[in-house]
Amino acid sequence: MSASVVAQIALIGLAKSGVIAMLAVGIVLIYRTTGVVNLAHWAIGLVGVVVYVLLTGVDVVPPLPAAAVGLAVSALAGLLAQRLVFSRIHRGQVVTMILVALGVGSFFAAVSQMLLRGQRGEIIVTPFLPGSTVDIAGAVILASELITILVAVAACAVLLPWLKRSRSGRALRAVAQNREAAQLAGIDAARYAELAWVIGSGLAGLALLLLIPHSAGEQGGVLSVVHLVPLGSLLIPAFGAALVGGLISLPAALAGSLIFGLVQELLILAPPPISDQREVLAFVVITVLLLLRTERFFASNAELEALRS
Amino acid sequence: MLRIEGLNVSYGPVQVLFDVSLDVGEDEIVALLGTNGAGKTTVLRAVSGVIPVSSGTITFNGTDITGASPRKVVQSGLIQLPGGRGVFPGMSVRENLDVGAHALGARRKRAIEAVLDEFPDLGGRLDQQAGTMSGGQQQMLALAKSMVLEPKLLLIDELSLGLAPKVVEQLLETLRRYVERGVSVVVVEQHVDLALSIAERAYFMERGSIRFDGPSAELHGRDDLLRAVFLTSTGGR
Repeated sequence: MSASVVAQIALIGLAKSGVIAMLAVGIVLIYRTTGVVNLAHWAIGLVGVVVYVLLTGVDVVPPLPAAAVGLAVSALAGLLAQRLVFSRIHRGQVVTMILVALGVGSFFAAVSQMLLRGQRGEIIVTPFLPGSTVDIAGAVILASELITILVAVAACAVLLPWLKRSRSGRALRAVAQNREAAQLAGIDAARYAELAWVIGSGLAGLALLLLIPHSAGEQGGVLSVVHLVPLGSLLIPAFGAALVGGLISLPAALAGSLIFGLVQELLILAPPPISDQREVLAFVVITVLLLLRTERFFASNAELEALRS
Repeated sequence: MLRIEGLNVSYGPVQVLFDVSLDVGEDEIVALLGTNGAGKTTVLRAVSGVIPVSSGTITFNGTDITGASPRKVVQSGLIQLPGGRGVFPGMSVRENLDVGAHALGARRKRAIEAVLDEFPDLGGRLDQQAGTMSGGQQQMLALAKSMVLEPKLLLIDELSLGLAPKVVEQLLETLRRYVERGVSVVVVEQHVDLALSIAERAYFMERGSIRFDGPSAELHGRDDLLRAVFLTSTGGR
């Protein structure tokens, strides 16, 4: 096997890592600020994609502005989910929270299906990224995959310094680390919880928009209605990546995303019984991470107690 | 300055405060004492607006702040130093002070500089992560974080918990400097002798109600009340 084939698969893996990272960052932000294990994350991103499909389908709105609107709609869906549903559930009621998250996810998936009703089977999607390929030192990948990698890096390059240095970013971290202590410093915790949902859900919308098929020539790709499900296949590795940091450490979640994306693609090169089970592997890793209780490595007991109260 | 009248608070179906009334005057240090689970912290949390009040009124400097948001309470000059975990352990000392001063907006830089003059030890540790400091240093940071908001009244939930007497003395010295400049203080303490040594007046709570209200010296003589504290405080929180 030539080095360029491995490089090619690794680059495709990196694009996958980028999508996983954008999902995982949202999962961590939302969990830390509001205690919600957001199983509705995928469906909230899906709403943005459907709005994009509808807008481009009528040929009035050009693809890029339509993608921007789609992203904004995902952010809005997240804001509404927090304001109308999750803010009303007590943080300690973990099981209730998870069941409600599943319900909210099903709701948004159903909304997506309803919006696209009448378009059974397969839907032609107008791409907003070029369908061409790029040659990077012999490794040929889609331009959309390269752009996905660059967008993910750019998103992190903006978000992490903002969280670290700005007044709002620090306030958001304060709410994430200790909600009550943040409130006692005059920080409006409810507002910052909503901000976390807006950022996380916007990123989910962005990730899914980058995922739609951009490559099938002039006509654009084909999206199947069976893709309109509450839990998409990449949500599993995204949770796996987030769990590498115990759902609380962003840098660890990013490292986890890099590994999940790369390994899942590179396993294509493994012999058949293993290469066929790449999706299952993500579940195995998640189980191990849950058993390890990875949150211990990133926060003291006092911090974890504050998170749960 | 602070007047609480007939305060009732419930956590879900369980009522935890029963008709609590309490007064704090200008330039006064008041101790709020009681057995474990008597509801002392709940009183502070209700005043700060982080938990809802079932009934009763809380007024601060003549303004009704019952049910006000924590943000509004902070802006009125009523600041609480939370018990046990008052700092953000994952942040540096500098970030802690910056976040602590959030409500001040653009004025935070000057306020932080002023506080660092009062807490010189912290000046040398600005980039240290708060979680890696000793308990005493963390409590010093928590106190600085409260003072940066320029309180008129400071509510302290357990200043001395788990700290060595020497460290506590240092904290009290800093606190006294602020009191001399007109900051009033309500101190909730497990350590009864300490609280009574700094407060002129004391309240004693048991099972969600105020059982005693008067001069500290008088409470010192009330063995019937204080015995309960000594019996329970040996077992920790």
